[in-house]
Amino acid sequence: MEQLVFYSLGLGAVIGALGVVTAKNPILSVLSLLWTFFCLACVYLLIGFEFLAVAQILVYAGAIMVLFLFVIMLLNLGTSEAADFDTARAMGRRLPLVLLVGCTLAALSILAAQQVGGTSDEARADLRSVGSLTDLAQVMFGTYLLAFEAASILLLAGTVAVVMLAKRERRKNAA
Amino acid sequence: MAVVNWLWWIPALPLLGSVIAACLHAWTLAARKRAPEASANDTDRAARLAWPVASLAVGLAFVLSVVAWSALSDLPPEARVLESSTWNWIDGGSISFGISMLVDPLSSIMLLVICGVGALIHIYAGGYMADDPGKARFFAYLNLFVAMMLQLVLSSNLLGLFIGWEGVGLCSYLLIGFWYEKHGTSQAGQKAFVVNRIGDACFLIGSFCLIDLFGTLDMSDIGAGVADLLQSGEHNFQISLAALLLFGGACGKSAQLPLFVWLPDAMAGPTPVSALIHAATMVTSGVYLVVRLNPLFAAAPGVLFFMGLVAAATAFIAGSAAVAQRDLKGVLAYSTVSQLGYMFLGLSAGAWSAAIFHLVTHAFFKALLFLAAGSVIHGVHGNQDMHKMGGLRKHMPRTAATFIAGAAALSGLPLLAGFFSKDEILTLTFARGGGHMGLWLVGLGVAALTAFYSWRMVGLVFFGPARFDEQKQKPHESPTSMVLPLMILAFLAVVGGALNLPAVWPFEGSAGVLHHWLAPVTRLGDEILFHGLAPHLTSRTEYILLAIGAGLALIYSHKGFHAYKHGLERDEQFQNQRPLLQGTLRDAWGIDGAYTRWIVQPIKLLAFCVSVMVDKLLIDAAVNGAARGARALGERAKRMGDGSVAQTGLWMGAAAVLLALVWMAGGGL
Amino acid sequence: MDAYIEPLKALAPELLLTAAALGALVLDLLMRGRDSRFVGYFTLVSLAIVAIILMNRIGDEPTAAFGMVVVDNFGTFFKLFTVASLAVVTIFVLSDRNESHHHIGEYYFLLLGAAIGIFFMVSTNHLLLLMLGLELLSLASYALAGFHKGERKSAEAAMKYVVFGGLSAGVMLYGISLLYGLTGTLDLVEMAKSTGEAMPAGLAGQLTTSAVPVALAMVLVLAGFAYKMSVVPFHFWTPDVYEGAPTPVTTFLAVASKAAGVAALLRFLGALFLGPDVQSVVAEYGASVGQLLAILAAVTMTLGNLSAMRQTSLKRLLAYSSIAHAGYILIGVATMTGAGFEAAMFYMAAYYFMNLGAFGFVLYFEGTLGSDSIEALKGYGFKAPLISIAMVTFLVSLTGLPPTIGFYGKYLLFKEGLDAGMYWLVGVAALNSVVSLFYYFRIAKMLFLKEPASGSVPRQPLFAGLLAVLCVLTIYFGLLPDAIQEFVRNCLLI
Repeated sequence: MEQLVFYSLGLGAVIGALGVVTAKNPILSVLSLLWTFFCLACVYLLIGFEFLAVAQILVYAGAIMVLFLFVIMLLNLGTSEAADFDTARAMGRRLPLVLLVGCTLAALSILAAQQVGGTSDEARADLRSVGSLTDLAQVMFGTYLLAFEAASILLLAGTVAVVMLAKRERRKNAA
Repeated sequence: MAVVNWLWWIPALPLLGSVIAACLHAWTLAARKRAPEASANDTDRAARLAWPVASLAVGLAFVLSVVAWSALSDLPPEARVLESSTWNWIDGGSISFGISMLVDPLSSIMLLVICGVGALIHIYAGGYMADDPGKARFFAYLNLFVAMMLQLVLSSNLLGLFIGWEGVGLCSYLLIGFWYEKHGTSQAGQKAFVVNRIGDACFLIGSFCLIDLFGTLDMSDIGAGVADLLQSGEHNFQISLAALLLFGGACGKSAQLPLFVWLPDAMAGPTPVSALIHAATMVTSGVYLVVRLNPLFAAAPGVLFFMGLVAAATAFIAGSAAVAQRDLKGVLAYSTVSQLGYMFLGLSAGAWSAAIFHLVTHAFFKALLFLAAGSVIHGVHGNQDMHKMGGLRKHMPRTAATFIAGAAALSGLPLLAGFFSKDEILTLTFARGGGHMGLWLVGLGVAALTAFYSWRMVGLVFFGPARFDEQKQKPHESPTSMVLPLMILAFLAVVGGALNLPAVWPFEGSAGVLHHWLAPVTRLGDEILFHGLAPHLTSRTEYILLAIGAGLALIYSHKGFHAYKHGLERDEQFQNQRPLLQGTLRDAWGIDGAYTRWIVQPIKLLAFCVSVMVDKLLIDAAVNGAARGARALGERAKRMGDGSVAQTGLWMGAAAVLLALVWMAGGGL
Repeated sequence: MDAYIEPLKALAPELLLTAAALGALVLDLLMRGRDSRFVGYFTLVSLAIVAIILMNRIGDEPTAAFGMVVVDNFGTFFKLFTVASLAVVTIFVLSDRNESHHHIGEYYFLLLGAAIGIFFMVSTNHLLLLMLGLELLSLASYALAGFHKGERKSAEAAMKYVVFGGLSAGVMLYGISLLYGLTGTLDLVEMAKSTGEAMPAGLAGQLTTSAVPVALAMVLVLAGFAYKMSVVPFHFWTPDVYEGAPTPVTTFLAVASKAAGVAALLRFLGALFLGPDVQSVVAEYGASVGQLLAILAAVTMTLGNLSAMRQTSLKRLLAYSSIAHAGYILIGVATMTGAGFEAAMFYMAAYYFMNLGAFGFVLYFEGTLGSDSIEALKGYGFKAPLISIAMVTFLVSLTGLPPTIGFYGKYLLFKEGLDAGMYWLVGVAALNSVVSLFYYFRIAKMLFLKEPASGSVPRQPLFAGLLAVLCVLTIYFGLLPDAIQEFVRNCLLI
């Protein structure tokens, strides 16, 4: 039963991801992404990470996605411009190669998955216990404090980069 | 063995000369820039200093070489080694290489030839290049070349030798392309460069084999190592492989089949360069390498015989090509290739000292011929086509006399230098017996060809009616600074044979001077090759062989001279009656053309295909495809959307999957 | 409190760099409208201080901080390498005639940010921090590549870099997650140590059952490193990005960023397969990973060299050349021996001198002629003889001819390759060196071909001096490589 749920969620996430890159309409694309995140949140729930699942929904689906939608609507990216976002056709033209690469990777993954040394129930139970908020906090601000700080520098660099790239060029204004 | 600390001065002097000449060149350029309108007389003052400085540097190096030679001859024969170890370059644990120098009988001979002939050519070049605006640059290159050549023969290990080897190559390309404004010269330089890379790759891989075998690149250690290995009876294959690869390197530098195609083109450079680099010294460094490593080659008799086959084929092809050339320097170039073939033929029979003997006499008479040819070309204002010469002996008697002396020596007329050296090689090839008998026959044929084309050249250039406008062109004799070196070289070309007279020479103790001098160097190789039983001929056989050689030279010299001393009829006849043969000979059996068609063009095609595949199809298609639909706002996003980036990503994935599968199938699992 | 002081000391260079990055940003705001060069000088001084701290650390015993950072000589070597290349890049930025000096604070911030990323990458055995450092480096690089956003090529370069970068980061993360799933830890040393008795199976336990999952994880993780080093087939971004990015940034990507990839790869392989407590079955598997790297090396150098032959843009040519050099470096890595890693590190040091020099030449040349086409080089040697001669030296070194450091580096790599028995690979590499001669020699030939039209080249004494120093060092260390070799030997991983 659990396996069935997991696989259907996984399939849902993959379909959603395909939708993100193939949809012609940007809004459809964002909604597909939302769906993917939702599926992932459910997977988290399934393996017992309740907090992560909630955070996923709240932060990604709630805040970031809504922001995306706002931006797209504010910029008024209508379907006329969006018509050029035709990844589906591009991929369709090279379908044999896409299939070949995709299937080989999938086959390799499945082969690998079948041959993974057995994971005991004990270990699984062990993993389950770290899903709680306290554990998460301990890991984030204890064991992995440095990684947490490194991530903050990463985000800062990202912010600066985006501001730099998005800021209107002063030279143009002067001209 | 004696340790001395002044050996490094020998290459350092020309190097210093080169640096000074380079500075003078820079100075001249600056002067020209400062005063663009001033006449060359005023601006080029500094450049005129380059000639005396460069000649002096080489002259002093010659003096030091003589000192080294006399120091050697004071030592007992078995201890004739001067050594100076200066500097440790690579110290890689088990292997270490230093820049150490060594003078033994072999390198002392090379030193004397390089510095002696080099100094004469430098003096000559002063007159030849007097009007050239780049003369300081020329002397900077020329001196650098001498320094590198000296490094090549002085180094006691293969690594140092390789540095010199590459250095002389570099100078050679620079000098071939010296007149880079002139069409074809830089192509010729590039061709020499590319062809030599093949040889150098062989040389390097061969050196790696030697490191693998002996753990050292020191040449005397290699000799000892070969002897030890032979006793243990292992590694025969590896020795042969190393010898074969090093011979491949020698083929590149010494213009043997299949790598000789660069040398005829190299004649695009100034004539003193052809004389010094492409006749007397650099091209013989392959011969030097083989003699230097004679124990290694002696331990690989199969490779030696192969060398003989290559050498005989080269000598024959180049000799026959020389018959059909119209360009004076072209004849000399093919003649050089052919004579180098002789040297390797001698080496293949284990006649180490005979090859060096021929190297020395060849340096004399071929440098002489080139310089005299340069004098002719100088006198007729740059014309090189023999069909447009004729009767020049009246206009330039001294050049004519020296040229004829050189041609006589080349054709092997009795008692001249070329007679003795060529004969020694042929005799020893004959004495080796077995398969070498066939090579000996080819050698005889080439000797006949040599005599024929030498005198054809003399007839076409100096005799017969003048085939140019005597009034307009006014050929003139060259200045003394150019003729004097010619005379000295002519003298050497006439009497040079005394260095190593044949064993049947009637006067006691006068025979085989050079052979005895080189004996300490070649002893090990002789022992390995002949096991102490060097082939011996009765004096009657030797007399007969000498007579055959002399007879062939006389007959074919006569034939060649008589056919051409009246004019061009024979050439025209040849061309009209046998156009195909004439064309084949002229293009040296079409080998160069075959390379262009079967090697150069396919490689170009391959590079083109790869660039089209990788660059055009993948990258450029991405760029162009992206550019097509680009509009202002959505530009960046579209680049992603129209599939070009996706396509490249797809290729990336496919390639990665393929590589991973190859790995997994090949043992990754 | 004290528990944090010691680790923080260990992190002093990273902290200083962060402060410097923020400082550059703020300084630019304060200096707005005035001399923008000041920010550059500030960056140089900060780098010098960091370099001094790092120099003092050479030879110290390894320490750990926060359970993730390892402060050892290997890391310090590559940190010094990064700082030294960044200093040269800063001088390049200062001398770049194409740089308008808009957003110059962001420029330096991103450069320093990328350096912080490299610092994390090279000094950790923990895959999480490795990934974060890699991402920090990548993110900063994307923005830097697109810094001249007004120019089509620059914008396009950034876009391609982002897409391919995202793809390979995703692939690598997948690989890392597989490794985590198999071993239950992200620490490489732990991974290699675990006996496989506990659950999950651990690397050793998994390998005794089946190697397929490990092989898959390896391929995926290596893809990430290969991307950073521009190893075929993850090199597609390289020519476009090198061509489109501002030349100082290209220099940074070609030297520091590639070195970071090499360092991380060396550390990854070293900790996983060559460490002291590695399970024997894992160590054996390392040899097989070496085979994969050998295949990659051969393909990379061959494709890089062949593609370089027909380039018309100097920057594209150097891009392909840098791909080929990644292949050479992989020879040393593929040997999977300490000596091979040493050779790879030495080659990185050699690469530093010759590539900084070559890109410096490109910048100089671009700044004076406004083009980077090889055709435009004609006769440049007569206009700017000093730097052209320096360029020829760099080319000789890139080809691997004596008496330059490039020759010695290649010699070490080939020697280690032969010692490890990879004769075919060394043969391919030797052939490749011959091929590379053609296109390097073409540049040298162009430089000294006479061109009828003359024009003078404006002088930049400081910049030309920097190139001259690099040129002299290329030859000096070629003749006396002991100093660098000794240094490298002190900084070995194993």
